[in-house]
Amino acid sequence: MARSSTENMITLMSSDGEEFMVTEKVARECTTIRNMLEDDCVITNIPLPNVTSDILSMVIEYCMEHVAAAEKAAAETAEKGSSSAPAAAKANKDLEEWDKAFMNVDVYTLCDLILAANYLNVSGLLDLTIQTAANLIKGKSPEQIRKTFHIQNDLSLEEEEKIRSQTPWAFEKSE
Amino acid sequence: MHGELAICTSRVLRKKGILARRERLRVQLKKTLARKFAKWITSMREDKMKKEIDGKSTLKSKGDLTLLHEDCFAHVISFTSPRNACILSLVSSSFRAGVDSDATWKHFLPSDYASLLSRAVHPVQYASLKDLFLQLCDRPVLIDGGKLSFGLNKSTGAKCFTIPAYEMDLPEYKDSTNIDWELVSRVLSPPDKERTMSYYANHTDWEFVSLSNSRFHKGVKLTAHLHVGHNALSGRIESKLLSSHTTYASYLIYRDNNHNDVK
Repeated sequence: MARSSTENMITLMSSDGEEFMVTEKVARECTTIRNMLEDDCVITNIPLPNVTSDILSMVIEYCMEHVAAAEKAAAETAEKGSSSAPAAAKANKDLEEWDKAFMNVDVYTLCDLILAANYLNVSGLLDLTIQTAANLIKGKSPEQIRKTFHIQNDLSLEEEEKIRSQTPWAFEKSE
Repeated sequence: MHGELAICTSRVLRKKGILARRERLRVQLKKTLARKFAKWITSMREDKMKKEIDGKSTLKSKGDLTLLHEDCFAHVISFTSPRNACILSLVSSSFRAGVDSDATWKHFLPSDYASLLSRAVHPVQYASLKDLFLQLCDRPVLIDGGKLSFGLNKSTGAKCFTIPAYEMDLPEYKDSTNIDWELVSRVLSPPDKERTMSYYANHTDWEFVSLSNSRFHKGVKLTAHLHVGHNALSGRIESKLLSSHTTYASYLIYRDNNHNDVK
């Protein structure tokens, strides 16, 4: 990744005190941080008391990859004068593959990533994690979902019956 | 905590570094997972209370989707379907609470539901957005002074509309002397659209009747034997009213008086 010497570096500090130095461009991928920077342009050290270092490192990894992909696409466009459709399609596909591999995490990490993406307001990561979580629950039986997310059923038989009778059509046949 | 702070020094983050850290974390996580799992089963409620306190300083979901913010959980549910959401409420009491929230059903209701409801003939009363959704699935509401009926599809939440017979374009009255001529011409040559239209155009072929079991309370009764052809009936609806990314089909609701069943 080409990095000019004049580029601002920002230090992000996780809840457990670990510091991560990133370029301003990467930090700006987080809308929450972008807003902070726009409010006060001399800020260089941002404490993030809501995000742990393991999750913050993943968020930064995601932002770096997406910034690098965008820079590469912009450089190619500048070089050739116009973007070639097949190359752009391939780059998109590569990034999608990368996202897919990035989402190969356990449910604990996934849920923490959703919270962090929501808090830092990284729209791409939020969409990706939410879609991944939705795919885990789509078309599954309640029993399968309990197993996936390690949830204990605390509903009584009467309560279950009440839920079923409220929307009987939802339980008639699976999609 | 202070000791850790002192050890942690500022460093430039490199990809290699992250991967190594993630690998280390994964090992750590595996160890803690087994412990966490046992904790879940034995003291779900106690654990949750702790998390709520923890949650104030650090965002930690511990793998339970319902511990996400209400908006986040609703967002996840909205990527599924109304039918799926109903099934999800059987998972646990916290899932049920999350599914039943207005935040969830706001995603399933059409974005213009408020403006459509403001056009309702009779004001719609509802306890929650879920209640509203279920009402609209079971009992479509009349809007625009009875010119249209609006409801929702249960499975997808897509908007459904019904146009009453009195808002349809019915064949207009034409001089009945034309009919014989048209009949003859039909036999002699293949009829074009215009001629077919006028063939059906005898006002005695249909009449308005009141229907107690219709939501519109009024229907059209065909009094003569009608050959169904093109242009016989047509209705109009603004396409911007329809749900996007949805394939629509149109149905004709009618009752066969000989059999007395609605189709």
